[in-house]
Formats: sequence, C-alpha cells, structure tokens
Amino acid sequence: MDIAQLGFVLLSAVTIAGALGATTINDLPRALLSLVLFFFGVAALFFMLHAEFIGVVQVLVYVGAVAVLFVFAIVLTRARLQATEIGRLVPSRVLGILGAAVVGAGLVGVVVRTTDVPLPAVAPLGTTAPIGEALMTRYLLPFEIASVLLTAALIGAVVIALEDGEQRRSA
Amino acid sequence: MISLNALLVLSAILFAVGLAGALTRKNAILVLVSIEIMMNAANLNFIAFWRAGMVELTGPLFALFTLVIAGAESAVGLALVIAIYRHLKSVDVGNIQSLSG
Repeated sequence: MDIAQLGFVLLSAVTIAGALGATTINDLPRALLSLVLFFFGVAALFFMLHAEFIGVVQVLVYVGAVAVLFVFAIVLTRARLQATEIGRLVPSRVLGILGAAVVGAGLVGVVVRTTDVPLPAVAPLGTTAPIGEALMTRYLLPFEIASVLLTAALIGAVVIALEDGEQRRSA
Repeated sequence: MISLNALLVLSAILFAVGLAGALTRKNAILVLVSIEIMMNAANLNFIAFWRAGMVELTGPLFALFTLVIAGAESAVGLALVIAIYRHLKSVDVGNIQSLSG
C-alpha cells in the first residue's frame, strides 16, 4: 500500500466518521461540528484528486457559509430535542435505516460489478483557469441562471424568515 | 494508485449514510444536514469521473453548480425551518402535519 492509498483510506475514514456523527449524534451543536468535519474531509478528498479549485470552493461555501447558516438556524429556533429522539428504534426509523442500507448495497453492488479503472497518474485539465474560461464561454448561460437562482433563493429566504408585519407591530 | 471504484464505493457509502439520516432524523435542521451529506456524495462522484478522464471539464463544472444549488437549498430550507418554528414552536418533522389527510 503506497502513501496515496494510505492517505485515501485515512481521509475516507475521517469523512465517513464525520457523516456518521452528523447523522447519529443527538446533540445539535456536536452534530454540526461533525458535519464540518465531513465537509473538510470531502474538501481534502477533492484536493487529493487535484480538483483544487472545487476543494477551495467547498471549504468557502460549505464550511464558511452553509455551516454558519445551520448555526444560526439552531440559535434562532433554540431547537430542543424531543424525548423520542434519544436513540429509540421505533419501526419507522428501522425502516428508514433498512431502506438506506438497501440503496447503499445496490449502489455498491453495481459499482463492484463494473470494470475498475485506475486513475491516470496525471490529472486532466481542470484547475482554476480552464474552469473560469468555460464559465465565461460555453457555460455562460448556466452560470447566469445560477446567479439568478441564488439571488432569488436568498431574497426568498429573507422574505420567508421575516416576521409578519402585523405580528411585529403588535409586539 | 487509487482506483475509480474505490471512490465510487466511498461515495455510495456516504450517500447511504445521508439517506439513512434524512429518513430517521426527527429534527428538521438535521434532515437538512443529511441532505447536504447526500449532495456532497454526488459531488464526489462528479470529481471522481473527471479525475478518471471520463468527462472533460463537465465534472468540476457540475460540482460547482451543485454547490450553488446546495447553497440556495439550505438557505431556503433553513428559512422555512425558522418560519415553521415561529408558527408551531417546534422543528420536529413529526409535528408538521397540517396538510396530512
């Protein structure tokens, strides 16, 4: 096992641990920290695959923005966990875990039956400069649509989360 | 060297973990967390296929657009959670059933 494989196994273990923590820990802030660990793990995997630009964007967007958004949601809702949350295996949860296990086993089964391709030693073209060029030429329309979508989503989020006018006046 | 299948298996495991979380969590915020995990697993696949030389620049570009979608989705989703909390004083998805028959 060479150093790249060892690094990949370690990173995978950290990433899976982060995902498991984010989906099983009952304490909200701790689950969120586990999610941040998962985001960093995925970013590190991107770096390992020589997708540096996507890795940096992953850290900026997910750790920098999405995780902070989740923190604000927790603070604003002061979400307390219900008693049912504490590790009880009600039938619906068992069904959910079983369904996810079936989906995961199906995906893994399909993957292992395909012929394996070793990754080429040299990463294909695709760091920052070609991505920027593609965004400004061939992918200009999707790029603009994405920015319109983002603007609309953020305005919509503000409008949805805003208190009702009457409520605020009466308060 | 790492093979493509190792990356795809890792991504499938992460997706299954996220799906299990989305199906079993009762807190709406944690359901959104699980959805983010599934989106990241899909992103990993895009980058893996790009790294294997099967798709040209489409891989990173799709990953980039997925990031944008995920950002928009979590912003709207969390705004909805906050609005629901203000209404029902709860973020338990089991309590949100005004539309159920």
